[in-house]
Amino acid sequence: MVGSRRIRLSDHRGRDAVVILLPVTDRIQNRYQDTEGRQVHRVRRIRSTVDTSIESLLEKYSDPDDLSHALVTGDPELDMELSGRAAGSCDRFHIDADGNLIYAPSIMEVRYDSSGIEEARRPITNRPANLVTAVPPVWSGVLIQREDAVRRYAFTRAYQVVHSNALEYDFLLSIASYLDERRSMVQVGTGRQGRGPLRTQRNGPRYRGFLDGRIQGDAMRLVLYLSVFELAASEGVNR
Amino acid sequence: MHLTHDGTILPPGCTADLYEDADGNAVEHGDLLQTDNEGRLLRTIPATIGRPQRPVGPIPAEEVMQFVATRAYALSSVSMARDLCDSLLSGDIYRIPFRPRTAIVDYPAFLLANDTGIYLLRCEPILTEYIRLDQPVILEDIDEDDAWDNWEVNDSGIIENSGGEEEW
Repeated sequence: MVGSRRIRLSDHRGRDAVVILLPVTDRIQNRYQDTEGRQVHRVRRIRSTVDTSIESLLEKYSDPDDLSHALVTGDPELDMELSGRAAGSCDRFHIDADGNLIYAPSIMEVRYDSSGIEEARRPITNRPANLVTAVPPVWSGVLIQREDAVRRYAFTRAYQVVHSNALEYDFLLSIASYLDERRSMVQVGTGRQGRGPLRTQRNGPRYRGFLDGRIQGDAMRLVLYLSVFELAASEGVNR
Repeated sequence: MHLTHDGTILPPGCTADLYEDADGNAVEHGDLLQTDNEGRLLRTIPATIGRPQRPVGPIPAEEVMQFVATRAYALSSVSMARDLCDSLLSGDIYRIPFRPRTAIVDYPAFLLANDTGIYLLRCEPILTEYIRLDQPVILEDIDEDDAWDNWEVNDSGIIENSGGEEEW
């Protein structure tokens, strides 16, 4: 059993269907043991709290000598109840510069130029996933040779496109055959030209999508490759 | 900031990750041995950093498509053999061992070039297969946002699609 997503695709004949995306990355789960063969697990433990953090202590003891004396005599850096306890799963929250709780923070997107100077600041709008659109997507018609695609884009994600019924299989088979005959990939995306960015999850990164299709006998393989960036060196990096 | 389930506020840097055995004894990082799911020890492969590696190739583009990139590096060559440089610029792709640190897997990296420069892609494999009509696909719950999230009511009260018209 694997987790999956759906995507609404169009083909070169103008037909569309909602089909299934299966993740295909082969991830290795790390397990550890010690040198004597005993199982070892990872745990997150509390080192200090708001009251015992170094920032709080520096605020409380402005004179370094006072702080040194307090560290030696009173262990103010240790909370005997909490230090060393497993943190467990935690909730994230935000505070303002004065340490007061913020109940409804608006997250800002801040853009910096290459020298680290702030260029623009704007609130982040909520961007939903757009794999399944309410209106049929457009076949972009943008074909790119496989050799050119792998040298132009860094494909950082891949999903196998699969069917859940015979009609969907025929639909996917026609796309795979079309692409296999041309030894090409086709750009898949949103918008009027079918070349807009894809988002696989809410507020996730914007991907360029490319479909690759192969035929082998009566079987087919259709894979959606996603690229989050183009291979283009920044200034200062030369051949 | 993080909040534990019993209400303790944990500012950044107030926690520490460590490895422990079943009795709660901390295990030094250097004493950790990686195993598979059945507890068999996995052989570690040394890092390639600082050791010359021989590119293998040219390889077909199809081989690169059996992987996805986990890191991309723009390379600035200190010195490069003329034939390798010419080969890359003509569109050839090379496979090269690349492990920044000791690893248990021998995933390759790919050396390639385009009009903007020479790049090294560190990759991990993907597992795809040819499927036939009669091949069953076993699925878990579909994990996705509601498609109707794409539709929003604007100031005029008109429902419009906000997700599908985004351009680059």
